[in-house]
Amino acid sequence: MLPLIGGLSITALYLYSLKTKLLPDTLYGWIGSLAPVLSFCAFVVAYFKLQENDGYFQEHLFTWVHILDLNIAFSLSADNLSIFMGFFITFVGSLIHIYASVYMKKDEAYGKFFAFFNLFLASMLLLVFADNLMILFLGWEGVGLFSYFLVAFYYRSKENVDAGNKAMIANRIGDLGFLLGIVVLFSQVGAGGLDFKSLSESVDSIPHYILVLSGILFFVGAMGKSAQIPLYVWLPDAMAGPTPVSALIHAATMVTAGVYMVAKLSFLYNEVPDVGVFIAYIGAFGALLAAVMATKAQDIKKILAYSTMSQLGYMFIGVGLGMYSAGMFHVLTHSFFKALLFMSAGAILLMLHHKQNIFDIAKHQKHTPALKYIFLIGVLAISGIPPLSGFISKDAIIVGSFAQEQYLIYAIALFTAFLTAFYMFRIYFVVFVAPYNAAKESNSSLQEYKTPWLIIAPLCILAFGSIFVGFINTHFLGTHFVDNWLSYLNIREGEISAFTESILVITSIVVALLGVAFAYVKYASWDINKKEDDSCIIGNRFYVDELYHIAFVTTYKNASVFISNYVEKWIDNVIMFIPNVLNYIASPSSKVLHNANVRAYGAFIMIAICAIFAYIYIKLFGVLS
Amino acid sequence: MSFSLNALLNVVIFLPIVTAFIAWVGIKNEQIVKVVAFIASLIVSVCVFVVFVNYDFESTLLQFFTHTPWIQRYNINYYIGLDGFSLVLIMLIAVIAPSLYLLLWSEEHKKGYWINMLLIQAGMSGAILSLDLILFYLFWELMLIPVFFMILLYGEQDKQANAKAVMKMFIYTVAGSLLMLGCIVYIGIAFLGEYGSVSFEYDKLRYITSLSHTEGIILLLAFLAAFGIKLPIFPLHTWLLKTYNSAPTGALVLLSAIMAKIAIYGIFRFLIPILTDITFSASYVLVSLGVFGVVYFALAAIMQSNIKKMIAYGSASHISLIFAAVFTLNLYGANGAMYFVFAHGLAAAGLFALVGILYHTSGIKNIDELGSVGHQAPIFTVFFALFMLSNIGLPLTVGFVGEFLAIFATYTFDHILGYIASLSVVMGASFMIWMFGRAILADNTKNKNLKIRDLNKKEILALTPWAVLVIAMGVFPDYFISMFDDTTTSYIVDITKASIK
Repeated sequence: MLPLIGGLSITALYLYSLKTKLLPDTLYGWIGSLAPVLSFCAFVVAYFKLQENDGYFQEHLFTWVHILDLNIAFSLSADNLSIFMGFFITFVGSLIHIYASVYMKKDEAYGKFFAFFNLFLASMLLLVFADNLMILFLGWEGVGLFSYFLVAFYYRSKENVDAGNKAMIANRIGDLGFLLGIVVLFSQVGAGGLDFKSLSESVDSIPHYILVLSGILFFVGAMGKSAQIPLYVWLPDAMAGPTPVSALIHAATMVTAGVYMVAKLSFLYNEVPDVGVFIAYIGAFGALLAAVMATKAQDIKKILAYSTMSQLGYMFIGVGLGMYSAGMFHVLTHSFFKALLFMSAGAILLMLHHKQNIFDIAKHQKHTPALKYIFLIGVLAISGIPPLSGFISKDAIIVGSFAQEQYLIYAIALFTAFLTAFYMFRIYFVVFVAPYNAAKESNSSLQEYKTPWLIIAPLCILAFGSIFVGFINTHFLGTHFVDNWLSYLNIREGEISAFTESILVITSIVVALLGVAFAYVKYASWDINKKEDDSCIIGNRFYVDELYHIAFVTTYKNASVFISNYVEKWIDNVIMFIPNVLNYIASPSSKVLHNANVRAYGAFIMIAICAIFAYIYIKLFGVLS
Repeated sequence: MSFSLNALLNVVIFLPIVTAFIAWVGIKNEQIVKVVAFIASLIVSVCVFVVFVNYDFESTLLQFFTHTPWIQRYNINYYIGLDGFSLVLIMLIAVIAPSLYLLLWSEEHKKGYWINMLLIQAGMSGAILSLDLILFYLFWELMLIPVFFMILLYGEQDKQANAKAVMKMFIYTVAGSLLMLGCIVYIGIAFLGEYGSVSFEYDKLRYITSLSHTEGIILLLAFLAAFGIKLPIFPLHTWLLKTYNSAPTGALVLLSAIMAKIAIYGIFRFLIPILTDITFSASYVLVSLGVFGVVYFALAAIMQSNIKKMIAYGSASHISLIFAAVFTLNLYGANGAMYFVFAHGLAAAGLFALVGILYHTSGIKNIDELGSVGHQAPIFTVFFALFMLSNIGLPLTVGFVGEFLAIFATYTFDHILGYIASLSVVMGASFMIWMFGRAILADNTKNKNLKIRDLNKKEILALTPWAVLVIAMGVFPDYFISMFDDTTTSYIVDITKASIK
């Protein structure tokens, strides 16, 4: 358990210190990829140990801070939830590392990339296995930091740096909420401690309003990290990083941290169901908003980013409504199919020298046959077409929200499912199906490019996973594995009859198919040479970025200019008024005043010092004698 | 505690003075002055480490003290000693000074520069170690005068601007010092009135009870003005920008990293124990003032185009947070403030030193004209990023612990103020990250041919201890807090008791 995180960080640091290019790039690739693979193996061991250990084990490393009641131990623990999370983080993480070792080839900062990549994964694991909120926060911030570095990886271009800044600052606002949540909660529990076990025991004694307050504050943290309304704006821009980064960070791991955190604090959110419903609504609207924006976006990575945000909305509906296992199960399936989508998109981009507009990509369809089917699997999975994994997990959430009588959420979720199918198949039809007269352009160099097997192999594994991983939670394999594994978290199960359920399931399928059909009608025979017009309000992301810019950035800057230009001068003048007056008295001639500034001040001060000393001396002397 | 160990603290104070004197009188060769200065600072550091190793962390009493009569008529004594508070600061000097000399090695060659640096160091050590208020005042002044000279002689702007900056700083700090001197004498006399003998030793003055409420308020304001100017806190900060902009790197690092912290130390050591009641009743106002400063300075920082000014404002914002933490008068605040003092010292020293190097190589301070540093000077960038991250309080760096404890203390003190103080997390990060992106990472659009040299071996060696500490103190804070935890605990117990009486 421990060596895995320790080893990871050390490996990563080791790599970092070797940045000076003493070693060949392949070595970085090997070490970098080996670390997550090893930690995955460690997980398998941990999984079996956990079953012996009654579902919980803890490892105390050292005391982090101990002042009065504030006693925070640097310790790690594992329970079913974190093992579940850790399992697919390391699994998908390993695959992405292997993929990246090929993808990033020829990049001058290869070693640095893997150092960041590994450190990122280490922070994520720290987050997952933290035993108390503070340690979770350490990992939480680490994840944010390395995502900043990775988004701004090609730091020489200003746009990428700006994207990184945006990610960092939006995350930071979330972190502020999280930090305050910790502070608020701690000021109540005091010596009870911030580790999850004692928190869950003392949760009954905490006043209700504190729980509501800290619940909301923690969720603000999740809004930042998991890109929910209103802090989602960084996610589309974060696609500036290399594609493996988008796959690992913005699909499979980092953005799910918020969902994980809510599930981990299930004991807290169970006490305040209203906050849970609030979370679910935020999730639902986020899902809808992102899906709408995705229908007009043209950059393939941005569409995928919106789809991530949209799927995250589903997860929050799940955990917000107390269906933790359904939410976490969607996290699992999502990490498979989203990594698949990003990585196959990345493979296409690699071939096409990073043209990201889907209408541009479409012009090269003849050269990308192998990836067509892999991408299709991802599209089918995310669109919720049975029997792929996305259908099973997403449908569980949609049906669950109906069962809990949250009909508005149900309706939004259903409509979003329609949109999801629509915009995902939009990509597919435009890129792979729409007819294009290839004669206009000749790309001889592209024809020779063969996608390396180290890229294909992880994709195949993920494709396999995207199809079949859903079954571990169904009747077919007998067990409802995920539901049972995480059952201790769930509290609310809506009761609906089997008949209603089957109607709902069929509705979902029909809706998804409708989305596909719409996309087919509109895009299957689209003329690729004409780009779709994206100048409408949706294409401009509802002007939210601009609005934020005016509301916050400009205000902030104006306030700053106001302070440094006016307030500062004013304060300075007020304070300097006294010496200036004295100076004026001391040297009546303005010419002298100008030239002998220093001396005049000096003389005045000398006189003043003498006067004060004389006064003190007399007074003191008077007292003594 | 043997005699020799006690004597070490005297070495810490006087060795730099003696060295400076010898160098001034006896050595002509600038290269040798450098070597001598560096060796002197190394010896001082070794002495401090020896003291540190022999320091009894369990004890809350003063250790290693020297008590020699000096001006007997007024019972002014040469009285120095060490407890948890001063230990933190003296360690900060021990860590920063030798590295700083090494950093300046390739850039600064003037003999006077090094002599003044030594004198500043001596003044600071003296102020930190002295327990007699008059002695404290003496060293407090001693550390300022070389700073004036340094800015005047080696300032980074033209002569006129340097002189102006010095003038402004001079007026501010001297006015503050005089106020403080007045207070000290007044308190001494009040003590005389109450106990029949004069004393300026802080551990005696704290038993003073005869001050009326009005007197107490006036004294508090005067002390605050003196310390507040040095920190600086709002609204006594306007000297800061010009001074920081003009100051040569060496003076600047010492000013921001250590000197400002001595004011915090002074508040802990003298102001609060002597004026306990008044401080307690005024604490809400003082914490609010600090919290206001946090937001105000962070706001002012973001649109600064001068990189030094931006860091200066950022630093003022953090110091305001320390100030707020101090006056929460609870243990979280005391520990947090001391931790933050060290954290901020390291980060400010690192950032200002690196900006100094940047300015020396490029001649540019304007953020918009900088850029392209990242790929030309990767090692520089790594260090810069590390200190910046510590400065914005990223977890697992030392800055986070300080910031967290300070915010936590403020929240414990008053919830609303706690919320406002926590804005520092976002605001501090926003302008630093923005600056980092523009000045260091992104390609330079204005000066395409700007060449930046990377750090040389000496500089890397100098920065490594700071970097290691930044990480180590962020990962294992408890180990470091426990070094002064006993002192702060008994200190808080004492002042709380005193205020109840």
